[in-house]
This record gives sequence, C-alpha cells and structure tokens, in this order.
Amino acid sequence: MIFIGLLLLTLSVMLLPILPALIEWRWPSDVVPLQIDEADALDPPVLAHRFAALLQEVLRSGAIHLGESAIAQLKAGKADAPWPFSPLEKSDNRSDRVWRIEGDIQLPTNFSFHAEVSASADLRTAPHAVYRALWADGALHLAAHSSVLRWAHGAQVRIAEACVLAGRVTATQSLVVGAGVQFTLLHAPVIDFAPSPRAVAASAPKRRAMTVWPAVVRWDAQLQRGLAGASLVIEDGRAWQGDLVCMGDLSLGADCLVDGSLKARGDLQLGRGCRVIGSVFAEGSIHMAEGCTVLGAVVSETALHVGAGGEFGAAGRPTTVAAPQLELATGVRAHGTVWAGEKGWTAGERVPVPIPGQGLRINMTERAVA
Amino acid sequence: MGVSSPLGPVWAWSLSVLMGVIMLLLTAYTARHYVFSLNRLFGRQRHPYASIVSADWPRVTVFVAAHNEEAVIQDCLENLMLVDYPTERLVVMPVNDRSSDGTREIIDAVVARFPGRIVPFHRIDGKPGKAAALKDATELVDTDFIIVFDADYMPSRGLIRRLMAPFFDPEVGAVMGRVVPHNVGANLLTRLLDLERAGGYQVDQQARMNLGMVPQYGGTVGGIRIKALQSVGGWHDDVLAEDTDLTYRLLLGGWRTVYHNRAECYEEVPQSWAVRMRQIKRWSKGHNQAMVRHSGALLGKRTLALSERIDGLLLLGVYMMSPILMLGWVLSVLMYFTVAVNWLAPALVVMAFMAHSALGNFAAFFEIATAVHLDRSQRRIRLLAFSFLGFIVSAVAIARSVLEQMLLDRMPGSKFHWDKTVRYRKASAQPAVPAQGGSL
Repeated sequence: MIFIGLLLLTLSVMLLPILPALIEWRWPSDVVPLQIDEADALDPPVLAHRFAALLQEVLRSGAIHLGESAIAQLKAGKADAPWPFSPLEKSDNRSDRVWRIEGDIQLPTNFSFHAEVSASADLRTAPHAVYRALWADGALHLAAHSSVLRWAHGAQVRIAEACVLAGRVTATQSLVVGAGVQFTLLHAPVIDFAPSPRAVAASAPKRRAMTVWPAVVRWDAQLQRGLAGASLVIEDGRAWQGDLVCMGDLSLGADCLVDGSLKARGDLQLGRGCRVIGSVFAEGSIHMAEGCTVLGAVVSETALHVGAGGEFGAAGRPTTVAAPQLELATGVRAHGTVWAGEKGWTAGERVPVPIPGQGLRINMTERAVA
Repeated sequence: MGVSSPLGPVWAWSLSVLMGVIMLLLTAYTARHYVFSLNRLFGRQRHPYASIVSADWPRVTVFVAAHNEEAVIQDCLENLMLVDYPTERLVVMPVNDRSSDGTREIIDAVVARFPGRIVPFHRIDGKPGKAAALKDATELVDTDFIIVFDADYMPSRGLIRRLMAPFFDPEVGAVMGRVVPHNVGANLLTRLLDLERAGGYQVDQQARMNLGMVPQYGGTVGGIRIKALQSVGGWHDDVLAEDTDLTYRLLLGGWRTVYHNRAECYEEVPQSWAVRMRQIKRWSKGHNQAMVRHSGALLGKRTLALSERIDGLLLLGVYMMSPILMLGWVLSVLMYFTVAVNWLAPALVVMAFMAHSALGNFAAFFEIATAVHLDRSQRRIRLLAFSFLGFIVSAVAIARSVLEQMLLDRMPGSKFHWDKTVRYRKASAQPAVPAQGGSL
C-alpha cells in the first residue's frame, strides 16, 4: 500500500509540470496566429490618417464620443470669441475632449489639450502649451516652446523654435523646423531645418578620379565594389563610381564625389561638400561636415551629426535619414523622413523642457546644442 | 586519471575521448542557446533597416515558387497585388515549376485579372527542384533585386518595402524576413511548430543579427541582390538546401545576409507528423550537404570576424547534433558496461551530465520561452512541456536522414527524391481581390 502511494506521489510530481500543457492542449486558450503588422504601423502618417478617418466616420454617424473622449465641435468665427470650455476645463486649464473645429483657429494660451484637436483649415497653437495630437487640413503652426505628445499633421507644418515633439510630425507638402527643436520622427516631401540662406558654391570643386586604391581596399572592377579590410581615409577631392564597404572607420576628405553607396562597420566621416549619389550606412556614428549631400538613405546605428547646409534626397526622390541620436545644423534640407530613434534635435538655443501645470511630462531629456 | 577496459586500452581511450568531444559540442550548443536568449532579453537590439520608410524604391522581381500549388497560389498572388510597393517597380513572377495540377490555369486566371502586373514563368521541363527553377527564372529577370516566396505564403501590405529596405546598404547581399505560422489552431503539432518558429526567428535569427553573426537566408520571405548572387556563382541546382548554400557563399564572397524581424509573413506549417518528419529530413540533408561544402572555407576565411566563423560553423553543424546526441547516449551505455575509470573521471562525467540535464536539455526551450515572452503571447507558453515531443520527433528524423545520407544516398543508382510539403488550405472558390482592385 505504501509502495503504491509512493509510486502515485512520484508520478504526480513528474506529471505536475505537464499539467498546464495538458490543460492548454485540451482546452486551448491561445490558438490565434501571432498578430503581424499588416497595416504597416511604420508608415509615418499612419496614426494621423487613422484618426482622421475615424473622426470622419464618427461625425457622419452622429456619435458624440470618439473612443472614451467626448467630441466638442466648434465653428471658428470671431477671433476674440471665448472658447466654450466647461467650468472644470476652465479651472484646470486643460481639456480632455476631442475638438473638431470648422475653419481657421488659434488655440488659446495657457491651455493644454489632452485629446486630439482637428481643424478643417489652418491651425495655430499657443506657446508653451501641451497637445496630445493635432490635425489641420490646411497649415499647422506650432508656436514656440509648445509640445506634441503623439502626432501632428497638416498640409504645411511650421514648427517654431524650442518645441518638443515627442510624437510624429508629418506634412503632405512641406515642413519647416525651427532652431532648438527636439523631435523623433518628421516626414514630408520637403523638410527644412532652421532655414538660413543657403550658401551657393562659388565654383565646382576640382576632383580627381580614384584610379589606384590604397592597399587595404580590394576593388572589384566588374562589381564596382570595394571592400576595405581595415579603417580607411580618402583624401580630398576624390571621385569614383561604385560602392565602398569598410570593415573599420571610414573617412572621406572634402569635396569627394561618390557615385555609389558607402558602408562602415565603424564610424564614418564625410568632409565638407562631399556628394554621395547613393546611400550612407554606418554601424558607428556618422559625422557630415557642412554642405554634404546624399541622394539615398543615411542610417547610423548610434548617432548622426549633420553640418550646415546638408541635403538628403531630392524633389521626387524621397529618402530616410535615421539614427538613435540625430543632430542637425541650420540650413539642412531633407526630402522624406527624418527619424531619431531616441532623440533628435536641431541646432539652436538651449531647449527648456516645458512642465505642464497638470503634471503631464514629456518623455524626452533635455539636450543643449550649441 | 586512468581508464581501462577488458576490451583493451584503445577501446577505453577511444570511447573516453569521443565522449569528451561530444560533451564539448553539447556545451557549445547549450551556451549558444543561452547567449542568444540572454541577448534578446537584455542585449542591445539592432534593427537598422526598420526605420527606412521613405525611399526611391528600386525595381524588384518577386518570385513565387510553385510546384503543384493549386490550393494556395491564388491567395499568394492576390496578396502581392495589394502590397504598397510602387506598382511600376514591382514585377511579380510566379515560377510554376512543372506543375501537373491546376496551378497553371489558376496563375493565368489571376494574370488576366491584373494585366501587366504579373509575368508568369511556366517551366515545363528541366532539372527538378526549387534551385533549378529559380536559376532558370533568374535568367529572365531585368531588375537588380529578387524576392522569393513559397506559394503558401501570404505577404502583407508593407512586406516588400521592408524586405527591400536593407538593400540600400551596399554590404547586404541577402535579406531574410520572419515567418509566422497561420494555421496555428489546427492541432497540437501546428501549435508546437508555432513555438518552434518563434524561437527560431524572434530569438535565434534576431540575436545573430544583434551580435553581428550569421543570420540565415531561409529560401522564402527573403530577398537577394542579383549582383551578389552572380558574384558568388548564381544558384547551385545540385544542392538540396539552396538557401543555406547561398547564405554561406555570400558570406565567403564578402556579402552580408541580414535579418529583418519586422518583415513578417504568414505561412502554413505541416499538420501531420509524417509530413513534418519528411520536411525535417529534407532540411537536414540539405544543411549537412552545405556543412560538408563550406566548413573548410569558412574556417580558413581570415577576413571574417572570429564570431562570424564560430557562429557560421555552429549553424552548419546544427543538424548533426541530433545524431551526435544519440551517439552520446550509446557511448554512455557502452562506457558504463565496458570501461572502468577511477573516481575522478566518473565524477567529472556525472557533474557534466548533471549540468547538461539541468541547463543544456532546456536551453532550446528557454529560447522558445524567451520568444513567446517577446511576442507577448504569454498563454501559449503552457504548451512548452510538449516541445519534448517535437524535439524527439525531429531528433529521430534527423538521425535517420543522416544515416540515409551517409549510407543509402551514396549507393549506386540512388536518386534524391524531393518531398514536397503537403498543403492544407483549400483553394478559394471566388477571387478575394477584385480585378485591379488593389492596384496602387
């Protein structure tokens, strides 16, 4: 009897780990295929477009709520007309309602909007205010020191200095970003950073064709591709056609012309006025001096510093500029997407982090850029 | 430390040394599983191509490899008509390899509904096998890149862009996306395969990507740069696993294969154990063939990082571990009965076995658990204990394939028989996508 008891006890101890498996097998609770991103959440304006479509549908149906937020509708008229805020909103200086405004609108000062604000024409924000999300069918003007938490979208978007953009900012036509702005993702056919008069090159730089490569480079003429087994420095004014992959750091002198793409397993530097008719990749940081242009993608796995007057992509040829840390000087222009995985900022004055009165905090750290 | 045996010292020492080597190999693979899992949980994650969303996208040809795929080919082609890649830069080419069912008619019907967007390649003769078919199809391509899907795959809207994004990096020769089982709920096997796939992609492949090692091109849901393919000799139609073979030829030729964890695609996994065993045997033979072909060159390739060479070798040897493990069991029994050792050696062996039992046997399951945790699908982890079943079936199938490969396949007159994976989906009665409805 004791033997049987011990046997049963031993068996149950052995079977114990299998019990959850047996239950899950006989009474399945998790048998749906793993959800994959079929709608492409990486598409920059996807959140804004999803909201716009949803709001349109809700308004058409006559509903008064969007998700859990009540919808407030407003017809923009007289410039000085008071906003129809509730007493609670007035006392808190914030609204948790979704606002749909017909016409041009200037958002009130000292007031935060913690749900989406949508305008059928132009939309102007107030300085030092915090917004969850902004949609403008026309132009969107973000006043200085304002903050956007999730996304902002307009036909043309202008971002004044020292704004903090924790969410995506997208424009269907153009985007102008002021000095000292912190951002994560910007997307538009043309994005101008801290615009300044663009320098015009006095004359085309003199370049010499790269006929003999340094010993460290194994150049395949048929593939038009070079592999450098160690770090490599290219002198000023060199030009070549083809891709160059470097196993260490790669540094190009001023005014080089590359009709191909560059890749460095280490850090990568482009001297002043370099032009790359291809893409630039580095597993380390990328440093681009003033006046560099790259037609294709620019991706660093650590940090990217772009000097004044740099240009990425071209009209009708969009591209992506991406790095965890991204610093852009004045006068930089990009066509397409600029994506800072952790933190991006434009050159300018020290950026004060707004501390909203209602305890909202921006999840971005302060960064000074000289 | 001394060993002795009634069968002689040579016998005793041979068994002991062999056992030592096996223990070393088991330790290496155990460590590998843990390194990958811990890297995915706590290490720096690399997704350098995920953020490339805007680009002047290049022209690309998408191959849909099909051999008697009447049940699934329509869904795959229709899904490709809905992707958000610029229409004028996307050529879809079903590679209909000597099908004897209704595959051709179905392809032609879809072609008629989407004029100008699909260029079918109906291959009616030539060498059998996917590699041979792809080789012939590649001759017809006028784009710089190709993407390959098997016919049972269902590409999602943004998938082509994601698979193409890494090609802006001039070092990249091939790209591999993530495969996600769609018929998870069919039975216990499909649920176990779902766990296994998660471990393989979410942890194994991504960790290799993170650590700068050797992610593997898997033959489907992947892209290839034509220039890279040509520079390493094109498709080899005499190999059983053209994907593994290509991964190593690219690596040795100075090209990188990268893994893109966000380029996800649904597939259909086997629903019967017999089909699964045949699939494993096919993979095992192909992989081992690649191991024989490329191990030497990989070891001697000084331009590759040491981590790439070690990981590459371990990856090549992965299908040899099942027979090696079984050999270890046999050896341990033989040693127990025929070899006498002093106290230190058995103590070491016992400790090694205890360590391996406590950690090594579960290393692969730890990887699966990590993957499920990262996928945030927590409840399916309860089935983990049953993964032993899948493990044993795979081990037996692999051991059998290795024996076949070493003995039967070498006999005169033996011919490789390609086991096509059975499909379970039923062909759509009506087109799911209206004609030109999805064109962009």
